[in-house]
Order: sequence, then structure tokens, then C-alpha cells
Amino acid sequence: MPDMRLGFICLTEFSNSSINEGIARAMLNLIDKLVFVVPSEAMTGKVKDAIESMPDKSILQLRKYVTVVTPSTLVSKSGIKGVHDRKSTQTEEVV
Amino acid sequence: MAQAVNLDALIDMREEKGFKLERDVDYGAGPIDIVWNVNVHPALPNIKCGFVVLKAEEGGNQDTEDNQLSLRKIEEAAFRGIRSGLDKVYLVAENDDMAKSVSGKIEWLASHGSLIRLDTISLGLAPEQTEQAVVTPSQKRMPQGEKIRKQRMREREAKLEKKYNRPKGERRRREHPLKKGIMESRVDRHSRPRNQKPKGT
Repeated sequence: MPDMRLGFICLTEFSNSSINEGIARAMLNLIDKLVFVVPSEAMTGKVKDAIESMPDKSILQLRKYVTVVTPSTLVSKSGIKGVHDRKSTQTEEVV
Repeated sequence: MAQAVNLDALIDMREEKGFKLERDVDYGAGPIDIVWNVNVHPALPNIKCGFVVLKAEEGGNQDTEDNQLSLRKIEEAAFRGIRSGLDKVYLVAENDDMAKSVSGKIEWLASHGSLIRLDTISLGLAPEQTEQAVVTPSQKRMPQGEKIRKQRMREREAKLEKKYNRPKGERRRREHPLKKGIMESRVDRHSRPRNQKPKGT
């Protein structure tokens, strides 16, 4: 299978032109999925709304292509136990 | 100094053809200067053709002074139209030269491969332009005489190539069998270790 290329673009402030430019750059550079990294949760909502509020007849379905995150979303989860791990540890202790 | 783009020609043309027109609209992805709603058939939905004027950089005229608009600006304007749900996005430049440059850049972007064929959606256009805006491929653009001259040049080169750079296998086939035998025995002798070389030859 071919490699999947994830593209990350940082947006420092909200504007439609910077969103357009980012999407254009990603698509023209054959990026398979685009991730916009924005500074705050408030801006995440704004950018998501801008992407999802496209007219129905548009030839692009951008919500399938673009993801919006903040840097804190990208913090590594190593060392944090998931529900599954926690359950198995508890079971071992009981035994 | 950048001159203002006059869109009257596009507005007048719309009146002639009877399309519905919208001016200075924003569907949520940025401003679109003109939108033509082309009704091709009562049973079919309208085709939306958008015209976005490409302006000089804020605070300077760098882009317009050398008749070149940056790729960034072209990409942004084209995607503004796509995100606005337009079927076609025409990028309006100040003059014919700039429009040609825009079309050329769109072709160049499409030729590099991308998730979207930008050249099928977008095109550069000058407001007063009457000739075809689609960039003609060089094969069609080149005069017939030039084509013949290049063909002759290629033939001459092929002839010289055949004469002086004949492949090794072909040259060997033509060699005299006796000469070939001598050559093979020499190669054999030189490729052996010193103590295994036949003496007195």
C-alpha cells in the first residue's frame, strides 16, 4: 500500500484566506490528510465551523480531509494507562 | 501602479447572455467579485461561474509590476471559489499578459500531480480578453516549419549516432573470425593468474 502522508499546518490567527491557502497547499502537495494546528480551543471551533459550513453543492467534502487540533491534543499519551490496561492491572492485584 | 480591474465587460456580457448575476458575494470562504448563474437547461441545476479579481499585495505592487502573480495568491483564490461551491473559478487579472501567466501557473500546478486537477476548475482571464484563455500545448503552438526543422535535425543526429556510436555487439558481429580468435586468446591469457599463463606465446 502507498504511504499515507499527514500534513500539519499551524494557523496563528483565524482567517478564511489562510484556511484556503493551507488547503490548497496540502492538496497540491499530495497530502492525504490535513491537520490544522491552532493555538486555542475557541479557534478550533471557528476553523471547524468554517470548514463544515461549505455549500452542499461544493465538489469537495473537506470535513473528511481536514482535522483541527490544538497543541495540547497532540501531547503524547505515553505513561497514561487506558481503561483496558487499568482493568487488567486491577484483576492481577485481586488474584 | 496597479490599475483597478474593470469588470463592466463581464457584467455587460451577462446581460447579453441572460445569466443571473451576483456581485460581491461571500458564501463563507471569502469574497467573490462576480458570480454568473448559467442556466443550461430547465431540468438541470445552474452552473455557477465565479470571477475573483486578483489584486496586488497589500502595501505594495510587487506582483503587478512584473506581470506575475504569486502561486500563493492563485491557489488561495482558486480554493476560495471551490470552498464557496462554485463550479468554475475564473481568476481575473489586470491585463492579457498577467492572465496568461496565471493560466500558465495553474497548468504548471496541475502538471505536478495533486489531489485536485486545478486546471479543470480554474483559469486566468483578463476582463477585456476575447481570445481563448486556455493555454495551448507547445505541440499545437509551434509552427509547422519549426516542427519539420526539428524532425530533420533528429534524423541527422540519429544517422550520426548510427555511424559513430555503433553498439558493441553489432561491431563484433562484423569482425573477421581470425581476428576475433586472436582477440579472445589474448583476453583469456591476460585474465589468468601469473603462474597459470601459457609459456612461449
